[in-house]
Amino acid sequence: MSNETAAFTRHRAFSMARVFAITTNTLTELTRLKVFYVLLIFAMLLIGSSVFMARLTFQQEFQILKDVSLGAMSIFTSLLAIIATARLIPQDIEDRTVYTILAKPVPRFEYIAGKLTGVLLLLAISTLVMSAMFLAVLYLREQTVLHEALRQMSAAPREQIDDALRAIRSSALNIDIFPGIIIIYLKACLLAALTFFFNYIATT
Amino acid sequence: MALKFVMIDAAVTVSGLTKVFPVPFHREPVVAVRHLDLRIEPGEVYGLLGPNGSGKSTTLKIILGLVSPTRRRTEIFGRDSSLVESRKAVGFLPENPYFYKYLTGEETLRFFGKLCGLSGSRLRERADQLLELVGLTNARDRRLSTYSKGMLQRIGLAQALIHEPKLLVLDEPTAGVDPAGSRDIRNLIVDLKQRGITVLLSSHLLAQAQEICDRVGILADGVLVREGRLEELIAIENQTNSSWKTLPMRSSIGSTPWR
Repeated sequence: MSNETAAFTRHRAFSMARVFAITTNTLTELTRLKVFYVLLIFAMLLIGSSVFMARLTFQQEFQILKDVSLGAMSIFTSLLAIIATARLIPQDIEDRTVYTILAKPVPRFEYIAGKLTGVLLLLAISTLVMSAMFLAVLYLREQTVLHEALRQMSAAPREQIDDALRAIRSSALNIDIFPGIIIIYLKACLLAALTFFFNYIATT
Repeated sequence: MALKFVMIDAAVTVSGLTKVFPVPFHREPVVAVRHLDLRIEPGEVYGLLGPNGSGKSTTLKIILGLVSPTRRRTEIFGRDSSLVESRKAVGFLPENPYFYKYLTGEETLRFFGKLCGLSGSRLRERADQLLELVGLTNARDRRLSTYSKGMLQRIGLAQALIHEPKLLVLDEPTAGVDPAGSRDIRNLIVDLKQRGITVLLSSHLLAQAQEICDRVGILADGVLVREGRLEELIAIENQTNSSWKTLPMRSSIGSTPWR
């Protein structure tokens, strides 16, 4: 009897380990879905292809590159947020996997928290991957434009060259991009949470 | 005082349990379980028998805390089933278990082990032991999408045992499994009983229950119509054949022979 009591009292009302187990499992589930890769590859292609789009000046080129890339990121993270979240809990209920999970010492809110954290983590990973691609493309184009400018202006005075390079740098990679990326991520999180909420109401 | 001791001692206590499912837009709700009393002693194998729709699965789900009862409550080793901590002592195998098919057999056990608070080398050892016990060591790295129904049932049994529960709840453990597979499962249940694990199972196959259950309860339309040792119940049936005609169960199983 004392063993039994000990086993019962060892139970913790909230366990990060359990939430983490559900989170990683959700992440595995989502990353093993084909739609995740299709969306990610499509977004990457779009970001990559914006390099070849028509332009007149370097300012226009960088503007188009940023517009297309951030637009693609925004659309694909939103799509991913809705698609990934929509099936998450109904699938578990339909397949009755939820019974097996809740028959373990797992409180319901831990299950919900684990699932939602899994989606938010997936969105974070895809935003990071897309941002890395976008920033790499932007950096490469910036370097090319800088080299071209240097070559063309080799005879020009030092101050003029510095001004031109500064202009190129400020219109390419700058600090303003990062709040944009964070807003895209937060927007996707909000969409995921809303989808999750409506799903939860609809299925219970 | 004596009563309290007895209450703690039982593996499962169900007293006066009623479950009513309201049907939307209908005045008449569905009564799944009606004033059910059950008491399952530690170490015994108890079979809940009855035709489909007799309330077996609902009773099991209430015992596990998955569904809340309309009236009264159930207890597992003296703990209210609605408490999450009561599930520390129970392992559950649902009917036609369906797990995450993108996980391998080993990953499935590790996932459920983590939910029960196991980790590290203890979890690894336990997963190895259970894969061995259910004979799936060779299939441990295969995804569940490639498993047969019998294999799914066995991995389901393994996940139910991952945290060394004292009570095992099995909902139709041999449904849809071929004769050889269901023999394996039956042998496993007998093996678990020898290790002192209490088993509560539901089934509509009388012959199978007869082989492994110490006691059975027969449910019909949510009412416990008979309870006791199966041989005794069958002996009564043979002597008083006519009395069975009055049982509600008779009508709901129609022409399906029970033996």
